[in-house]
Amino acid sequence: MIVLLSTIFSSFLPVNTYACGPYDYSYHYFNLFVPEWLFDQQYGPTFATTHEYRHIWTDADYSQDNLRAWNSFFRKGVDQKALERLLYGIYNKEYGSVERSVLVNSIMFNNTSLPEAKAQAAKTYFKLSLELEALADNADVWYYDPPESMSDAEKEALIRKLKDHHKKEQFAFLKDRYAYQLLKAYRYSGQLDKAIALYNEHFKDAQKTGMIHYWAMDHMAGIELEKNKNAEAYYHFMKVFQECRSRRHSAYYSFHITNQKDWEKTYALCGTSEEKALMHFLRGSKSDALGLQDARDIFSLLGNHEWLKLLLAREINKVEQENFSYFSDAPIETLIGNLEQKGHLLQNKDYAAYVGELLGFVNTVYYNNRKDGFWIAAKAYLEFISGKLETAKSTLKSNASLNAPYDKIAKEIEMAILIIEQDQLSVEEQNQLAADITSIFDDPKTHFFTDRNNQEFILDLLAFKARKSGKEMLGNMFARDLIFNEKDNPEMANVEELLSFVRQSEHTDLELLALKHYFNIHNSWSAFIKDTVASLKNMEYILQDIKGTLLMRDPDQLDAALAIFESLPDSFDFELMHNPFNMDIQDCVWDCYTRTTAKYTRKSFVRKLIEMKELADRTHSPTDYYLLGNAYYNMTYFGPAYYLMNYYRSGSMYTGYYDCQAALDFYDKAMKYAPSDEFAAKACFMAAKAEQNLYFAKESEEEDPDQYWWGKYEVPDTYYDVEQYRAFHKDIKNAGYRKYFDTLERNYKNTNYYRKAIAECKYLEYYVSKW
Amino acid sequence: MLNFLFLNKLKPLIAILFISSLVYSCQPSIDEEVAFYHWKSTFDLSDALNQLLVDQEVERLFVKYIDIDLEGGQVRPVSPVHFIGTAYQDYDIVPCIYITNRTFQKENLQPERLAEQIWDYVQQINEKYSITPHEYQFDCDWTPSTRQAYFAFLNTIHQLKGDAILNSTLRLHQLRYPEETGVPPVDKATLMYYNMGDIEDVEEVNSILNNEKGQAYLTGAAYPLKLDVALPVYSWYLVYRLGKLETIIKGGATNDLLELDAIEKTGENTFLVKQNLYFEEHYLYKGDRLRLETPTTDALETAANALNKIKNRSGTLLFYHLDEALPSLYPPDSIDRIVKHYFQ
Repeated sequence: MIVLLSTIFSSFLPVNTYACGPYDYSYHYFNLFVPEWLFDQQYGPTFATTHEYRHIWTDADYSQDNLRAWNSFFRKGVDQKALERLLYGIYNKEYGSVERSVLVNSIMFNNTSLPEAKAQAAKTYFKLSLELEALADNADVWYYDPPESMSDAEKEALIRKLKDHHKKEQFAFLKDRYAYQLLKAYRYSGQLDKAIALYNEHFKDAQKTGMIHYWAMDHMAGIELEKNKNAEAYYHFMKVFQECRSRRHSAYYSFHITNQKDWEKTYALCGTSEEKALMHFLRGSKSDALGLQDARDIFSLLGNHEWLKLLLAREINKVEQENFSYFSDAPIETLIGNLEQKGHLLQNKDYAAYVGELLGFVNTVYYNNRKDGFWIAAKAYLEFISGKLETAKSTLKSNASLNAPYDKIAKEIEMAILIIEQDQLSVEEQNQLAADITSIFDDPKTHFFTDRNNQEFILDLLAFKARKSGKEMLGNMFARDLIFNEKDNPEMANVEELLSFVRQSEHTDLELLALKHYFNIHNSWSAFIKDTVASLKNMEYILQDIKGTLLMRDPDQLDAALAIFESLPDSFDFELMHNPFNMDIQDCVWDCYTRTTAKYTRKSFVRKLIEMKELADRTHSPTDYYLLGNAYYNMTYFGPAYYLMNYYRSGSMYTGYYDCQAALDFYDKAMKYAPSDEFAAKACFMAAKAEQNLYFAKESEEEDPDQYWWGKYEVPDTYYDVEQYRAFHKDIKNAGYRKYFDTLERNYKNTNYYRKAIAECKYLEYYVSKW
Repeated sequence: MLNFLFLNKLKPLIAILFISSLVYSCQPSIDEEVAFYHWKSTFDLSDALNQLLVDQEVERLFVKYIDIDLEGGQVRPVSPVHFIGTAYQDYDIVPCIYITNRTFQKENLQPERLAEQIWDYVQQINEKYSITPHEYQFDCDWTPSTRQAYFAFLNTIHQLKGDAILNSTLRLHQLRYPEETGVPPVDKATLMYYNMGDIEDVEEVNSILNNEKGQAYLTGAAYPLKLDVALPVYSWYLVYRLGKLETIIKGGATNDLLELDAIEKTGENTFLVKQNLYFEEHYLYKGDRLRLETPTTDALETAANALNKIKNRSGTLLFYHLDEALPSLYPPDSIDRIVKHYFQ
């Protein structure tokens, strides 16, 4: 496998790929010891918090080293896009569909500013390299014995040409490249001894340290593995890892020592303490490793070295990954439960013991390097997760003037301990927490980003504590709930509680932080906190608006709703897009035909409803009852004026106000006081629509929430499933929700409206034909 | 007189015994056969293993030809078998193809096309080594989400196989709950009577063979396919690191570990690593806990006793698997005893 990797990774034209290496889609856990804060980005590939070494593939700085090398030779004297496509084989809009051999022969060197000799030499080189690709290319994996891509004679002819050009080549850059290609040709044709001889002759000189030399060394390591010279191979892979970032990924995975003998022999080849320490780093940093002993060895070899810190950070991050998973039912509750029952935050005693050992080692390094903020942060963090909260506080207190970036880790620990320890936070503590949450996590606009797991940890701790002390609403706010969620399905009790909270005479900064996020206020925290009066007033308006809308659901509360709407700024009023008094036989929610030109705003419409209801109740006016029924029907989920009662309408489930009972009550009265059978038939049919929606709502509420299509009753399609369609009619009748169809047929069968309805409404037509 | 009375009393019992003997003799006889799996990528039988096969009169070997898995998002054949020497020619080879369940989870997978590719690959191996199989076995721990694809795959193989028998492996839960898991469209199945414990549990005694757990799955109605039965004759070390299963080290025996100073025996088959060390191509860490699991001959006899009662079994008893450690783990008389219990 290692040989195969080496072969693949050492090919002439490196191509970006995700095909190899570990791949993990999710690293979502509470990560407070943030390596991105602590180390330079060049070390990114070694962070345990990233996708292992994977992103080295996608990082242009690394994968394009070859392009840079060629550009240093060409001095940008060739078409860059053509060169890019040639080297990487990738699609680009300029030459994506052009064969690379055509690029070399007909395009890349046209109009070049290169001297003729140089252009010709490069052209010859590329042509031969492309020829060699056929030898190097992997055959179809579905061959048990893959056919040879070249005959022996063809291979030898190619090798002769490469040797010849290598010998004659005048440009040193190309001479190196020819040597590299020749090395590959020997390897791929099974002539390993010749490959080794060539390497020793051309590349072994320690003075030569260019990229292509390390590519050759990578091949050499692969060949050494094939020849069972494991120690030499691992040593070379280690050097490639150390010196050649464009082969670092493959070298890392190829350095895979599996026995003591190989380890000792490779160790013996190391000429310096740094090389030995690197061996420990490579072994200790593997994902399944426990890196502590290798860290100890690095420390004894090099003292306080960057690799030691990287390895320790990885080790801490691995502990976080395994112990602070976000994907559990109650991650914070689990951690706090561990702390209370076991005395530490970790999942089991084995982890507690290991973290204890890590802490012991970190203490040793810390006392030998008192000025280094990394060890202070590491010590305090390990003390924290070990449950030694007092010791962690003491460590941070005795190192109070920590520099960036370690001060951020220290702050995280301080915040976490404060929240865990205190049942009631003082105003000062709450104000300080708010300031720290926005500054430490670089979140000036209080987005509460869900990919910042350390910020989530602090917020989830706050949520846990708030809920534990009975402040469920505040807990939900810290848990990233938003006002939009309340608006989807508002409840009066929640709105009243929110109003009461917003109207408090005093708020701590932490409460304001929670409110700012909850109400999705986008300005910066510093601007928000300077003047909160206007913001709080606006929050109150928003809540009042919801309250007024909720009150409207009850026709007897229309006056109270109007009073609220009239107390709101004008910006809260809006024009209606429909006349809610209009009604048709067929329901319509979107793009409905407008039959009247009456224009209302919300306020004027509510006034109209109040006026009509007062008139109807006083005079038993059937028309007003009928129109009120229409209005209340159309303001539900099922009507085009749903936005009067709802802030959101889901396509997949009933949301907000979908109760047609108020509409049905008005239609009942319209029928009762109807002046004629025609009028009564119309009101009766509308009542049947409202009755049917009540059935749909009931069925939806009774559905199993685990069902995929939970939340919205769907009438079976008669075309696709006749039996299901029949069952629907039977079920709704048996449930008692076809009373108005029965009344229509029994009492108003001879009206024109009935005839019109039965022609347009297939449910009615089906119903009366079957029952 | 006494004897007569005594015999009179025994009449009903004699009648039952007589009828029982008639019933027993009326059961359809099965062709008793012992076979072995070979599950390594290099087939190179040692003299000891060859002798074991001769002693057991083994005629058929179930040889794993390839694994099929996803690599880099593509379905690929992995670790194809290579036959060394000519010993394999003495046996009727049953090619076995192990397919990971995730293979069938691949988006846009065309199971029919995959079947053609695998079939072609297997024929390449047959051709190279002049093997003419009479049976093929496919091994996949299919789940509800992959059942459709796996069964479509098997249907295509069915069309390609000609006269050969098509065999699919069967896990215990698939045997017990055919309505939920489905019955594969094959000619026969092989019940894998092993790997039934909780391998993740550091406190588990033996995850390879746990008769109490296994027998609970044998109580259902007759499976709709003829069943070969496979029993485990292998051992492994399970390595637990920081309370979780970290890796499996296949093969091995207690003595291997006890020779190492860095290892402490903590129980009959459990060990503690006292300092970091390399062992069997793995780097073990201080604090690692190891559990050596080897089904005992007694446990295998109990299993054989339980399995000989399952309905619709064929006459083939398979052992998983041929390994150099096998003769030392299970001396010839052990295998004999297990076989005897299965066919009694």
